[in-house]
Amino acid sequence: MRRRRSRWAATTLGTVFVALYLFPVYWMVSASFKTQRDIRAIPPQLVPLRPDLSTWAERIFGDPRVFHYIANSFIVALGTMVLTVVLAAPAAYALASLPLRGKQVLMLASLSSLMFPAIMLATPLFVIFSRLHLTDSLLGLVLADTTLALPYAIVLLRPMFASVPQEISEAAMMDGCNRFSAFARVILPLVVPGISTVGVIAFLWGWGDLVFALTLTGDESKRVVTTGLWGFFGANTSDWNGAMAFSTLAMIPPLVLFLFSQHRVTAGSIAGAVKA
Amino acid sequence: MSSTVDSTGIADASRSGATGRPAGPRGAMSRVSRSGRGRLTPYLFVLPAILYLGALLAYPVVVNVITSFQQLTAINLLSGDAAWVGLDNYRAALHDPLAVSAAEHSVAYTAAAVVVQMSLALGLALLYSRTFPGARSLRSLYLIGYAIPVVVSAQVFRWMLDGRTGFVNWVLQSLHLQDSHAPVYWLADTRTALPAVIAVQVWLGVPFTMIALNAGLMVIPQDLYEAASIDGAGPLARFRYVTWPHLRPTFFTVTILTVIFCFKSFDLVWIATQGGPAGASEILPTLAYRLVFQQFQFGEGSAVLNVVFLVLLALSTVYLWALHREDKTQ
Repeated sequence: MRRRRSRWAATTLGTVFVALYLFPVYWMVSASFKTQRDIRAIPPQLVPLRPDLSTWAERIFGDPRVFHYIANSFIVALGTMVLTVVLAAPAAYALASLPLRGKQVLMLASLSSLMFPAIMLATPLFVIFSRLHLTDSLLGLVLADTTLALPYAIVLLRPMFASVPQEISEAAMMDGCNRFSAFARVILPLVVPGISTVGVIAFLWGWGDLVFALTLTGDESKRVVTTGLWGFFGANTSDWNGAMAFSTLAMIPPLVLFLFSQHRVTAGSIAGAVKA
Repeated sequence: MSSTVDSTGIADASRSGATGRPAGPRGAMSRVSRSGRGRLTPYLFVLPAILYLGALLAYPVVVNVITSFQQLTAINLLSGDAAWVGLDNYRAALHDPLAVSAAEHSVAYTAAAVVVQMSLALGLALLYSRTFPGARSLRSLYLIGYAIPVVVSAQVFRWMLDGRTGFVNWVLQSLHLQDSHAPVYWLADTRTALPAVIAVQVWLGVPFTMIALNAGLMVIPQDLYEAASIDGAGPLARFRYVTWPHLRPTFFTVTILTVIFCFKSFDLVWIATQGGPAGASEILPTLAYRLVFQQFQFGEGSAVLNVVFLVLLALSTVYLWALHREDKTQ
């Protein structure tokens, strides 16, 4: 009896902490549905008393630039996702289960490149991309974002390929597959959960990137959500309605993707970066 | 954590290297390895990734080192024929009071954020590792904070920490902890800007740290706790003699990762304060950004970044060593 009560006490405590933790997110979303006046009300309205869609109508749906930024962000995030998976999957497979010299060096290199700050790469990439005319291009952003997502993807995918029994690829090769078709047709379908996790993470990376978007693009037509948010509601804004509506919008795609991907797998991979 | 999550690969690679993979059906193996092309095939799998990372990760690092010894400006950026200036850029950074204070802020920022974040995350991980209804789902809700772009979170906190309309001030005033006639502009006050961004950094980092610590807690055998309870150990004793010894390697690894994440933090500080006011929350990454992309002092900016890089390299060596040690003990 006492034990059951303490379990429910833990549930209550756990719920209160989550609620406190996520309050800023709720506060942002609810603010986007408040009027200019209500957002400044004292005491603050915990629930919008007069739900109001005018901020969304004027600042988001009424502004074609916003959708342009969203579209650009989708291109960059999806591009990063595809390029990362295409490059990481075969590499992780080979590192997991093919005879290869220098595996340790490659894994060490991938692991240590997790530590790279984007800003550290931004300077030389700006120099290099300037010479290659890759600045102010969405392709340049995809290339830059993939640079940081790729080592992470390899590190996360390798153990997932390693858990596929070696016999499976050998059986496929007995049946007439070569290494490549065995990989593409037999092995890859078995690690779809892992691939989707890595894809989600790469997407989040591409979507959320500020540093490369800030440094490698400047042109209005190449603005993405992060730089758009910063451009609209920069250092001196007091238009909190607009800022919160735009922030909410910028949060939706990664959040939806995250909630619909198996977030337990994602949680597992986060843990995997630190726990062998 | 399931056994499939072996992030290091180091131990595994060495194991398979020593014993070799169990030979499969003979026909398949020999058909592949007979020709030279068969032996080279594995390398074709890793080649694209290696070329990519070589061109866009390794080469840029080299460019950064070269740039730090040059007088590269906006004028000679495209031609690349910048004069060599030896260690001048590093000397300039060392004698730049802004750079020195940015370095101090970086250390303070990292130290404070890591201590607070690790304590909070440990407390939460201990709570959510207990078996109670909804523990798993509640725990995974924290990951929403991880999935949201940092730019968005930073923007929300800019508002919540605002002096006039911020929620934080309202709470403090309601609790009579702040005079409503003297509101604090948390991010615009030289005294509070750095502590305020540190607090937000903790908010950003807690989910990752908590989930990672939680994974370490989940593998501690439950019967150890039962045995300890039978021996009359209270909660504190159980933590000290069962939890902590088992969690310590994971805790150490997670701490180093957290140090790395905090030390390289840029987005948050840039959105929240741009290093201001008057450099009060300037850290090395924001300083480097300012030097390179606002003042076009590529040389000095690269020098600052190389210093950051060396620190991170040292930290990641410790991280790899810790992972390796964890592997061996298991």
